[in-house]
Amino acid sequence: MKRIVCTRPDGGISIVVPAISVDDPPSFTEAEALQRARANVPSDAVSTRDVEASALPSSRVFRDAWVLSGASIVVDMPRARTIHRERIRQRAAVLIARADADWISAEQNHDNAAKAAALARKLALVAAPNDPAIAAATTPEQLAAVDPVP
Amino acid sequence: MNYVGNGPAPSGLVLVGDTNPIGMIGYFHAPPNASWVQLNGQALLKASYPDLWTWAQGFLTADQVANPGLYKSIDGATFAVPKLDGTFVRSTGQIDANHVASALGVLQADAVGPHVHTQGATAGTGVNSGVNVPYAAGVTNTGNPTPATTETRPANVALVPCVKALRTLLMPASGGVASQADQEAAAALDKLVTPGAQKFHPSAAKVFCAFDLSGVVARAFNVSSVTDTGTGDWTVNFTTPFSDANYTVAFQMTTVVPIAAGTSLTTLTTPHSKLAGSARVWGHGYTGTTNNAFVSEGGTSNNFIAFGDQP
Repeated sequence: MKRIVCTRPDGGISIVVPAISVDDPPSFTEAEALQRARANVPSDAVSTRDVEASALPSSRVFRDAWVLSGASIVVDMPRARTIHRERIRQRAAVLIARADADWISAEQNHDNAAKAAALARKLALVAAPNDPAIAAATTPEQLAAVDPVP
Repeated sequence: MNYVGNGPAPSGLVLVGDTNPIGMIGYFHAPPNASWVQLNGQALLKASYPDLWTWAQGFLTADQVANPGLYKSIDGATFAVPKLDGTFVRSTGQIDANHVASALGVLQADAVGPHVHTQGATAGTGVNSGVNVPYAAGVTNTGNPTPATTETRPANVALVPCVKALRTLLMPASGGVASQADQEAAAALDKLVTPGAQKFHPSAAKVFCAFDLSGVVARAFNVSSVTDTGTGDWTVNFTTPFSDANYTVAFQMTTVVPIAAGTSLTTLTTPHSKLAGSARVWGHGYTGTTNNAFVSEGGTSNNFIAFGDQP
């Protein structure tokens, strides 16, 4: 069944997927469902376009970076990099807190080596979102493979 | 509502029960239900069986011994149904002058048709209806054949004669069937609920929907579409909207898809915002604390259900 791709003011897309419910008449067709679903297009949609399901990317890893390009839906790489950095930052935040706890514990134990290791791990985590491999990635697949969190 | 016949219910009425007409006689192994009574001469209350009493007006007798196939008014309150115990039923009228039925409902007593007894001129044993009987010369044989009986009868089996005594129930559609208002009031105990009105009861879900990550619906009720707005962000759009946004939503996702391999996730689902015609829901996995929400895609199977009032 076709989808209605709606471009939002922020450049992203919302995809209206028509449905046929159990309480619809037995003769209710996909074409009628598509027509009915047009009433569900968000009011702030800048434009709409009907696309086949096959036009959607197979991976939803960077779903929030999807944009409409002609009749196709593609991943906007600058947006995808931003999303990827944010995910790394959120994962790192948990580990940074753990590294800080390790550093305090090492300080209490007068263990300079452990303090240095904890500090080095924290610095690596802080730098992780800025890993140059993120900027160098040119495809969603390459970007998704970049995982600098130690 | 007096209903005689077996056709469909008149417009605006609904049928409850069988559609056999009042007065119909049938043979059963036992009265099939309370709307049929056995024709054994029993007394019935006129007030309890008004339609049968009305039907009986054309078939009354004062002497039910002579006319056991008719009804009898016992007194102001009761009447007796025909008493067919042990009798055979015969078609009225005649096929020729030698085969004439009695009048309607009148008992026709035992009788033996013309036949010949062959006897010899001297005493001995002869044959009477296939049975050897002794006889004396010149004497009329008045004995009965064996096995001895008190009646003449064909081979037969016994069943219970019954009459359709209570009408098929006809209920006015406007009063006997629950309306939307009746369903929403959820109080009446004397209304029938039809499939089209069942959904208006407060305890009935007005919307349900099972859908996947992409918003593709597996099964739904009252859903026109699902909008995939982003990662773990969907809007369920209703075919028939609620009266307002004061309805209840339950949302659940089953299997959460982690973005980063090996990440342990806890699920967080949130009915985010509601409009009369749609509800936006979020579903994410997060690591550690809720401050780290939105690090994952939503569930592969999302389940949405809503209760409330519809116009």
